[in-house]
Amino acid sequence: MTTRGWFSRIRAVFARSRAERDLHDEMDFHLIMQAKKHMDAGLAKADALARARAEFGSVELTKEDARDVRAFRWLEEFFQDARVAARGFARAPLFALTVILTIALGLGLNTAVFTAFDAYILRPFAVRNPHALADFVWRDQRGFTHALTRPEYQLMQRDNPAFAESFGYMNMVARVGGQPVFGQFVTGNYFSMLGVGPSLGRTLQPEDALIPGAGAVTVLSHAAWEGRFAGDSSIIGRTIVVRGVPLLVVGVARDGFGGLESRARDLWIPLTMASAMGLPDPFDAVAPAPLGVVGQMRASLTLDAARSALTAWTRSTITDRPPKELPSSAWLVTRETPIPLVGETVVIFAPIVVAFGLVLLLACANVANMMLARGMARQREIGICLSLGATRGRLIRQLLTESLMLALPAAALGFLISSAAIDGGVRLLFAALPANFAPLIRIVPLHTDVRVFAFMIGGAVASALLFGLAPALQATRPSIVQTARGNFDNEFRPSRLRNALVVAQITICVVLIAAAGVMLRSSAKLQQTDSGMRTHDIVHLVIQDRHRAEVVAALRAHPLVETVASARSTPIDALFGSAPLAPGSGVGRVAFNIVSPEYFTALELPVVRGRNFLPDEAASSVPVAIVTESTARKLWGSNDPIGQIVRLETPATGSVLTPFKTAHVVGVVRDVVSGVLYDPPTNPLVFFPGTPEAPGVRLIVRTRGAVETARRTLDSDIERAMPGSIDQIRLLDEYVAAQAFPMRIAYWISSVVGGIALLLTLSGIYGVLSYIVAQRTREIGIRMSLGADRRAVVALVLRQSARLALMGLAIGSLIALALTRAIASELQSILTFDLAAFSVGPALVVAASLIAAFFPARRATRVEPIIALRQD
Amino acid sequence: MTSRLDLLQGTLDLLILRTLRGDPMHGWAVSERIQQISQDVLQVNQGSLYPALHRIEQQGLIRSEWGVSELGRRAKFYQITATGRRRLEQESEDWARFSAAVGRVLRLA
Repeated sequence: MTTRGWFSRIRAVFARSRAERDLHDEMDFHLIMQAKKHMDAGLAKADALARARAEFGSVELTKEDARDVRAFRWLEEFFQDARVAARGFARAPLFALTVILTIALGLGLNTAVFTAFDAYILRPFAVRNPHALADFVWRDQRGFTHALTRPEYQLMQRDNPAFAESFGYMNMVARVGGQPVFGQFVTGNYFSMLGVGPSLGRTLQPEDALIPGAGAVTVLSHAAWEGRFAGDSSIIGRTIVVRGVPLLVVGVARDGFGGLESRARDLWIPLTMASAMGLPDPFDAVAPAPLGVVGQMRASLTLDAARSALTAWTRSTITDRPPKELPSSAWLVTRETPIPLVGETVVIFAPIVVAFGLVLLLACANVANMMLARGMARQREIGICLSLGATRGRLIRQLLTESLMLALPAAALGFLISSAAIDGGVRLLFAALPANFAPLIRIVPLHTDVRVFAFMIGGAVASALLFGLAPALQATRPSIVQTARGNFDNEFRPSRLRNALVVAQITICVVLIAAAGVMLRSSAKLQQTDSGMRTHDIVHLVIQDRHRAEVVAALRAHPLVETVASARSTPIDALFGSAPLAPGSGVGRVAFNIVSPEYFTALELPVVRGRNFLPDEAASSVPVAIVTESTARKLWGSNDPIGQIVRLETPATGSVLTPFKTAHVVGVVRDVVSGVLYDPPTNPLVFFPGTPEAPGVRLIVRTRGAVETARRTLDSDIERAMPGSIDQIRLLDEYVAAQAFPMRIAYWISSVVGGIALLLTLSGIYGVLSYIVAQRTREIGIRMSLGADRRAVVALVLRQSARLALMGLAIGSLIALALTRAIASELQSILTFDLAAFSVGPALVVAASLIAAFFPARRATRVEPIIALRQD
Repeated sequence: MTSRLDLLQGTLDLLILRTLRGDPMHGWAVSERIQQISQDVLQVNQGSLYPALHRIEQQGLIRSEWGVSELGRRAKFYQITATGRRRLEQESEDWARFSAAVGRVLRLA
């Protein structure tokens, strides 16, 4: 097509009135010429004109055909439809407003969820070729995963089939100025491989990470530089002290780069500094510490191909291990985004996505019902259009345009709602988090990108189709025969569709409310869970091994300290380590912790039988054990546990458990959880003796007086005497709160979702019943004139509501029950059948549907029989 | 044989192009000319003339301009474009071949 042709088409759209006038003039001119011809042949003027017209046929039809030639006809029609729709909305502003608000709410909440999903899971790291990045570890014959040691990593760098390049790293959390700092020790090629340049100074270079112990330099992240050093450019060349080691700041990384971890890194240090700063030494000649390895796959290599190539490489390269620990396979996970999009992630996110998706569906169902009711009310108008020759397709297009015109403003409003929801959500997240944990979390910037925008528009259009199409199809169904008789009512009453929508709404609502109830109850249960120990007034420290002896001594001498105990695993943080028992004991694995004798007094965990560890046993790792009551019962039944033997199936060397392979039970303590509140305290747990002086163990300090004051005092006193010796110092109660945190958030989210669902259902039922009452006005009038009293009329309407509510209730309860069972199989602390959650929730829904029905019912009783009968 | 023939689908475009090969003309003149030259055998239906004119204008085969007619009224004049001329030559040739072939079949078959 010529440019000219395009121009005339586009012009035709925007200068429609002019094109129309031209068309009219052209036809007119033709008629005049034809009439003149007839007049020249001798006809009178009037006759000539009439004859010309007769010859021409329908001028309007010809115009219509000529118009159809225009290519952007649909666009013209769209504008025409849009104008008609706008006029309609102006006539019923409340309707338009309700629809827009309802959809905006559903869409906004979903956009908020999608924005977070996008930021963590979909948006790749801002580095060179992020799609090719993959984490590498390998699995041995027994299924345990291993990381590469530095010599093995060097072999990999030199020659491997899958990675073009790879870097090694070790993570570290230190404290600088009382705040946690997330650091990473990296090999010298880290920045060049990722293609990340400096925004100030320089990045780390290979020369920085050559000689073990050398390279005391650091590169800050842009965010840390702005947050901690106020964006001061004189930072380059200054020295900052991390873990007591002075590091020269040589540069600030590019803005927007925070490493490849889900929690952004604050600074990077050459790997050669790792052991000097308290990490296991990757350069150790005898037992080099393992490294995390991220590789950049060679171009044109798929993840699967890389995996099999690396499996072969690992098998042929790592041969110096005991037979059971030889490699069986390589393990590759994509490192393209902060959280990889794998099955596990989908399982975790699915309930959230589904719950919010259901809210959007509820909103759409509400709007569909409103549109349906409006479509019915407009039957007359639509009937007239149809009998005047409008095609059904054209009318459906008109109704869909209306839907779209509601959906797009809703998308815009939804965007505002999503920003507010994200803001509120982040605030809530931090408000619910224990104060000393807050600095550990940094929310990645949740900004709108192309994907979020596409999601919004896609969601708006999809919901327009959802809530617009069904009503549009239904409304345009009147028969021409009827309308020709002047009866514009619709034979077809889509009561089934409408009822189905309401039942679906109530079903969804019941599911969401029941879920909220279960979450609330589970969260409450978790908070009441007796962990089996006293966690109040305990300060928990993670310290540097270099300063361990001095710090322990200082703590013991401190006036605010009552007891100093130690534990290999924090009493409440994550799952304790576990060890397999020798075959034949009846229990597969037991959780264990290595604790000092003071542990039991500090946490008020009384020894109910036998005795505590003796100081000598702790100091020289004598093979003795203390078990919990349940463990004793599970292992030895009613026999006296004291003197029994715990036999572990552990490696002969190199494990912390090696000294305790065959341990005599000396005492029994009350049941206590194995690090996780969600698991029952009756799970098997064995304690072995240790001391606070042992490397790597955590310190558990019972304090005097107000515990937060004590924490601050201890922190500043120790920090003054031994700078950089403390990595973490928190209250044990904060670990408890942090563990209950996800459940609390889940409860909050499900409550908000449930509340909105209830609100939407309420307004949905109200709308539908109002409409039904309006439709049945005549019937109600007849009933009343035949003697039905008000009570009977109210019952009539309520029955309709109750029938729908009960159907939805039954289906919803079944689904909710099935869902909680499925979730409970994954999470033990979820209650499967909680009577309170399953009775209060549905009762709430029924009450809401009756309340929603009440007002339409009352309106029904006000029907005046005479007026109702006179209608039409 | 009846005195008037309905136009074959598609041939109207060809006739319009041929008629417009000379001077610019308005729609009425086009229909008159076709009728005259075909000695009233071909009757152009107005209901298809204008859509056809607009269609081939969109295709860039002709272009239009508002001018003043012999009656002194505003009228839309159509004029063939270079593309239109090429198309006309092509299609005239096709038509000649087609009608010759049909004629041969009718004579000889």
